[in-house]
Amino acid sequence: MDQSTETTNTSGPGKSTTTLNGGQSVSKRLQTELMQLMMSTTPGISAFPTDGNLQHWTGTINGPEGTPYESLTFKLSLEFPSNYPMAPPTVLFTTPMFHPNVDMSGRICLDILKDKWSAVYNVQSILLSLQSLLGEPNNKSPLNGQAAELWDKDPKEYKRLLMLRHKEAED
Amino acid sequence: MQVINTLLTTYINAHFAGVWETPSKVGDDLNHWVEHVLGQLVLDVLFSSKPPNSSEGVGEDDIKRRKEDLESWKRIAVGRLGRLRVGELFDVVVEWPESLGGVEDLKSYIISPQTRLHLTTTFTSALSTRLLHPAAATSDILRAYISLIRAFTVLDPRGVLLDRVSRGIRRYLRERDDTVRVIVRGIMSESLPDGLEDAEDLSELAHELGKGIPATQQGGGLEELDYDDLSWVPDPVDAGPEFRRSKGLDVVGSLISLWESREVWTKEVAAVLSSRLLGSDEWLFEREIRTIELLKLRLGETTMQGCEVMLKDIADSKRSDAHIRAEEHLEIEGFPEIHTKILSRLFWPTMKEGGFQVPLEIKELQERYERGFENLKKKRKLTWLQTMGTVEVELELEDRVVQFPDATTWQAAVIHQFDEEGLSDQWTIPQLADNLEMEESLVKKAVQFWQSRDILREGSNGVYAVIENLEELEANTPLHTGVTAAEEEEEVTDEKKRERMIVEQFVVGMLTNGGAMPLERISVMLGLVPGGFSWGQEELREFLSRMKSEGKVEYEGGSWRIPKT
Repeated sequence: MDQSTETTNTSGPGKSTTTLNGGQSVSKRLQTELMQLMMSTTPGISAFPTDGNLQHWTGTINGPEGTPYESLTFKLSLEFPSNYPMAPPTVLFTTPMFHPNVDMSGRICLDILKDKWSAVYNVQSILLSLQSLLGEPNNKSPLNGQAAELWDKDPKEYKRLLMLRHKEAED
Repeated sequence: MQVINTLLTTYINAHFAGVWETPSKVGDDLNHWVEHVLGQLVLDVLFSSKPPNSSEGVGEDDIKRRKEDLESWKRIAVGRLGRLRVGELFDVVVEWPESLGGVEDLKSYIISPQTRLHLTTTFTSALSTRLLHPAAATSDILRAYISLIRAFTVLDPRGVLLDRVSRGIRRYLRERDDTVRVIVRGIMSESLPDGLEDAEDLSELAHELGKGIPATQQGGGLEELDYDDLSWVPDPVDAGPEFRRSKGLDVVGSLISLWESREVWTKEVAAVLSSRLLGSDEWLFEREIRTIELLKLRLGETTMQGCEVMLKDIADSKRSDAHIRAEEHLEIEGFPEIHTKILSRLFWPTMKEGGFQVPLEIKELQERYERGFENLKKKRKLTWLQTMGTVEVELELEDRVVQFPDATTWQAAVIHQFDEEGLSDQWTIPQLADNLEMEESLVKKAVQFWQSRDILREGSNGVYAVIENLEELEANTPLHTGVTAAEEEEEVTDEKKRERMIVEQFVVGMLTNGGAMPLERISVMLGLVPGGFSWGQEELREFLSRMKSEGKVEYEGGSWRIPKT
């Protein structure tokens, strides 16, 4: 996905042996990712460890323009397993969401977070994928049938139900 | 008995406190005293009460009893002395190696598990009250730890006591941000420029490293028992569960094992190495090669790979430099000589990239050099790090000729501007920055350098001019000193700038995702910044206020947050 982030992760040949001991390499990788994310500042997406715990982050994405989600912000929680990046993080919307591929408790149906996961992905690419998922839902396998149906048929009603559900997370 | 007890204690405290000469005569002295002085005294007292005529009848029983008494008094005396020494142990360690005798005395004391336990608990608490607090400098703690390793290796060669007492200090050292830095600077002190304050601090570490790894340690893991070792004995009973078999005296090894990961060292080693390799126009770095080889034994080949490449880069550069210079005919009369060190970017610490316009003749030389390099190494590109490197500057002024063999490139470029034909010989800092396409802060630093060397002088309105005559300077001196002092204060180093940028990004990131937070929480969360976060709360508060004035954050009800759009 993102060229610049990958090159730095694989700097130097023969480094693969050092990733053997679990906990340390996870936090190292997450720390690197955090630094990259902080330095790149892609507009509309952001994430930071919650309470200083490196394996649990809070993410924020802004709804993309030209979609019903425009000018809304959504919070996510990202939970990294101890074998990350071999396994994907568990990602949930914590802001109430109305979307064909997100269920009522915030669970997300997105291939790269499940079987299509690859260690090449990182927090930044996950957040970007989720941001684009907002504008381009996969209506073929919906978690929220009502949303999938209304998406094409009745954008007005869709927006109304979305706004009904959406509540900005209060500080 | 009461009397003997008091006598013993008083005598020991009065005569042996702080007496740490080696070889220690304290033990013998004490024995002698107990036998002759104390024993005699008791004899006098006890037997004087007996009628004198029975003196011939001192039976065998009496003599035997007296011997037993003497033995037990000696034991008590050794115990008392041990207690005294345990109390003094912290000072003994600090005074090491002048206090060797004190440790020798202790050896005869720590023969039972109780006394060993007493020693470790007393010493550990002395450590934490007297050394492990924020006011102690890291180098002092390290020095104490090194003495501790040495003293305890003499005291208990098997290393159980060392293992026990050093846990606290090791844990503490791991928490300090600058431990790695101080240790690496100690180990590599030969490579640091002289006159640096901390260069001397732990320079003994360089010697220690030179000693190599003690033979006992090599291959001596728990798993690999040497069945041919006839002097093998089981681990001592009071060894802790994680106790490792004696490693012999190995100061550097103990320090390096502070962290499980070997990688913590590489960054700092690379930083020192790079400043050394680039900081001079030499080509031969035998000392550094030796240090890196020694470190390789400690840290492993893979860990030191980067440094290896750095050294190789310099060696390669020497060859390619000679080659390119010959190929491109860079030996030109009237032109400055140019030599380069070609670095493999990936393996060197991050360098400052911001360049500037070098003088035309240099630019021309650089272009030819670049061509030469690209002919030599196909498909590789040479990028100049204009701000790195040194220039030999010779300035001819009206009344004097001044030489600066080690000026930096940017200092040279700035002073060169005053010499450029057809250009003005009066410049302000912004003008210089514009003309050279150099960062203003760097220009300012260069100007200050030349000003302090009495080459430039500040006129009115921040205009700088060359001091052609020193007499001219003397007429004008009183003015500029105050100004430079004020300017230095506001000057921000590049490193600091970068740090601020990172902190700002982290603050924005954390407030965007975590919502409003009070200062203390922000400060704690900034611990996630790679390399640690060392600002005080006041500095952070000031920084946040500045961000507030830029509209990046707002403050309400005791918490900072991102403004709502």
